Amino acid sequence: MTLISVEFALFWLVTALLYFVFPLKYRWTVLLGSSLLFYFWNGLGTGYFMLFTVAAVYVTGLLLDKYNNEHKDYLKSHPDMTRDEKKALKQKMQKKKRCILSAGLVVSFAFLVFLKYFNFLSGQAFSVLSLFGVKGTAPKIDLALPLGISFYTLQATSYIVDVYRGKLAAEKNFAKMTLFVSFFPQIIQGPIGRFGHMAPQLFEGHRFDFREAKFGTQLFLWGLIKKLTLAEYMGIIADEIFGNYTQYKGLIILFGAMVYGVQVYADFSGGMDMISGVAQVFGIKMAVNFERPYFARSVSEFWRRWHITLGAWMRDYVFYPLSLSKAFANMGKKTRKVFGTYIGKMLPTFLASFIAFFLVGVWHGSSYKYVVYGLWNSVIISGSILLEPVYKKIIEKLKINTECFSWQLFQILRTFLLVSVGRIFSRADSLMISFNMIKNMFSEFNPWVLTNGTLYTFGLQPRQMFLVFLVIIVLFVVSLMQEKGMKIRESLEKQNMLFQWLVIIGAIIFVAIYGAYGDQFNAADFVYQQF
Amino acid sequence: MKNKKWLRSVAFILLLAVAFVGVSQCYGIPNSYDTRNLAAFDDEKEGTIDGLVFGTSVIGYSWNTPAAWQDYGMAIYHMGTSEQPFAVIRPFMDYALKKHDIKYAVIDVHGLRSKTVISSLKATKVRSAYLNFPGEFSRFKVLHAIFDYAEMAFEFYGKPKDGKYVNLNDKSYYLPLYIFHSRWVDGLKKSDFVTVENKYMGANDRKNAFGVMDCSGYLNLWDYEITGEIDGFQRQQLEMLFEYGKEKNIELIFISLPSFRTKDEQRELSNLIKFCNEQGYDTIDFADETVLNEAGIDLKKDFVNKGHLNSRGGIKSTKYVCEFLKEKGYYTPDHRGEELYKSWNKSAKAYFNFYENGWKNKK
Repeated sequence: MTLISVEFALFWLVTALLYFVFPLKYRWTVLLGSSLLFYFWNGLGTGYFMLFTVAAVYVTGLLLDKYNNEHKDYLKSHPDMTRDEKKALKQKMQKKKRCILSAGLVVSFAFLVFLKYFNFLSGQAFSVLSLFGVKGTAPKIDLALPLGISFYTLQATSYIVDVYRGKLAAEKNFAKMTLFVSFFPQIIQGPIGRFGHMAPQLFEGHRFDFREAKFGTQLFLWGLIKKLTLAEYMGIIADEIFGNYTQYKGLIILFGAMVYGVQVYADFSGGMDMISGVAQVFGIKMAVNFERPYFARSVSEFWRRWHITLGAWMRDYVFYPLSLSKAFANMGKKTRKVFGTYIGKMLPTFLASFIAFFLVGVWHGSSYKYVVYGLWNSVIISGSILLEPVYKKIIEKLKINTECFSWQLFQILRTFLLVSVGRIFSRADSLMISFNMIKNMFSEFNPWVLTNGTLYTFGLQPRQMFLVFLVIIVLFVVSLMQEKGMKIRESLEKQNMLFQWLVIIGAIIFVAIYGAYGDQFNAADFVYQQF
Repeated sequence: MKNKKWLRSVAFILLLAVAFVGVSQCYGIPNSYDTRNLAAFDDEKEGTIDGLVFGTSVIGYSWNTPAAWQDYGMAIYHMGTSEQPFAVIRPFMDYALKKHDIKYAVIDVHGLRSKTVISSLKATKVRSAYLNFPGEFSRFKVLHAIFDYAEMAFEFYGKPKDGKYVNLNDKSYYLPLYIFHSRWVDGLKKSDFVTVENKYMGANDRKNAFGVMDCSGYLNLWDYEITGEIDGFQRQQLEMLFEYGKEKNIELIFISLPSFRTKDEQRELSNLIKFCNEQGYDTIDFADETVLNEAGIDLKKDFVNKGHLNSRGGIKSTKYVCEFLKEKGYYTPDHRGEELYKSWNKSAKAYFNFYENGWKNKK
């Protein structure tokens, strides 16, 4: 059952009806039942992995909570402890908790690593062994990847780290824990929720709110428009260029990368809108995952606007713990002596960022191309920080006004360009192909392809190109309005009812006619669903 | 206040449904020669039709309603479609019976040839047959009949693997927009907005209505012995139809109109006719040279291609069938001159003008 299907629409409707019919206190059980049904409907065999993960984090959470409470109780019952005694106790507890946390993390990530990376790792291991004359075939597992495993693993592990840190009390109810991990709209492709944000909303029953239901449905519709009238069409062009990359050179490759950038944005953010819309009908507000990333003026800002929940997860559970760790602090002290204060101060940050982006890359898939994709972003961000003093000097010397629109536009376009080039690594079929594509991109300067009709040869007819152009304009205008702080749905609500209806009915008919679905199109799953 | 919101929601959904239905109508299956007679069935005044004709494109070429009307005053409506799935006959008759006192149905058996059974289950043929069916809700009855038929046929003959065939789980049959919305790329035409015009009552007015192909060389294809039997699927389908006819008190006449197939295929058709005859039904097999000669069909001039008659041949075969019906005593009153049939006079006149001009221009 995909998000864009009649089955899902009915499933959503029935779940909503049941949810609002059930007593307030037990409404979360409807969500749990629906989530499990949805999950097992999409893969009966692989559903058990998700339940194993839930069990692992549930038990880990309880054990961690036990030590947290023991620690607190001990401090309460021994008010006369000295600072050193308290410190010693804390360290002792930390040690025990760290062991439990490590075990919990290992078990949780083991499923992800085993199911997602085993074939890749075993293949690589055998390639290395073959260099030493070892012969044999790399063992492979032939198991479908459980739906949303990359998303729910991060979500589940964030919970145990937060319990470990004492930010959260452990959830005592296994069923509720299961709902937190498996909540049906978000299991598909995130956002990667946090227990502190999601749990109260999931477990507390919500009364039917007409406005929330209306807004949720409108958001779903907006996501559907992005997905079906933009992402799918852009995908046709991107598939053609990336699939037949040897035939294309120069600007066409760059065009393909940019088109893929728009495709993946419309696809992923469209999916997020649909997921958030579904949840909003139940009165649940999902974490924001996109904040108009293509308005970012630097790659680091882009990552604060793009897949925000993944970035935040990496920041809170990888970047900060590493960069603030004792080991990194010591490394900083040592490198200061060798490379000077500035680089010595920045190096631990860069290394932490490097590791975080490496993990971001690896999270996307088991291939070297994803590793390079992550590192490309890390290098760009670290490089721009490192060269910031140089840029400042150049800007001062050239007397560039950095406050004006043209400079900001330049920054936006530059960021889009850098991000698009990086996308070649993630979209190309392999790392070698991505290098070849980048080589081909610089092998010819052919700006005429933009005007001589070449753009119509990538699988879209002129009318479809016009449609795509129109949707991009609409998306741009809406994004610009949001960037200026305007709330679109609230603004629409203030208009005359007839106008509101015309807009909504017009949007539904628009997507029904112009959407890339049905027999004529091979409508793909969401791009991020595969991660 | 709360009630007001609910009322508004209902009004919104109704408005959306109206918009959706409107758009669906425009983005339905394009009209064609094969289907407009079906789509225009509801235009006929209540109680005016005595008999129905069913079949594949063979009947589309070989049956000429204006000829049956002009020369005999017979009110027989043509409900055939290209490669019409045999299964639609019963629900089509059910629908016709709501407004008309149908006395008999003339059924061409080409659709029950084992090869045609499968090819009639191509998604395009299925859509063409049921989407042009006039009753909005009766369409689903037609569709379900096709699904049941397909299930049985695929079980008996096996389902081809090329993916063009009816998928029994495909919900898009209920929502044609799902398939046809992509027509926006080619642009909508006037015919997508205006009502179907059926000015010649489904008579052959195709571009090739006046084409001629000398088929005398194929006569040997009709030279075979009728041996063997019909298969289990064909028997089952025919028996279900016999049962239906008895239940609804509709007399059935089975015919095999002129077309040149392979000898095996011709034999299969003749076996179907033979089986119906053995069950006590009146039959006509145009592969019988005597019948062909009596009908006056000229193999050199009356075919447009191997499989179909041209408009001249179609009139001859129609007249033969009409004579047969009269001779056998079916209910065939002459309705010419009756007030209710004014439109039939008009259509016949228009068709014969078209027909004569067509042949004149051909010369």
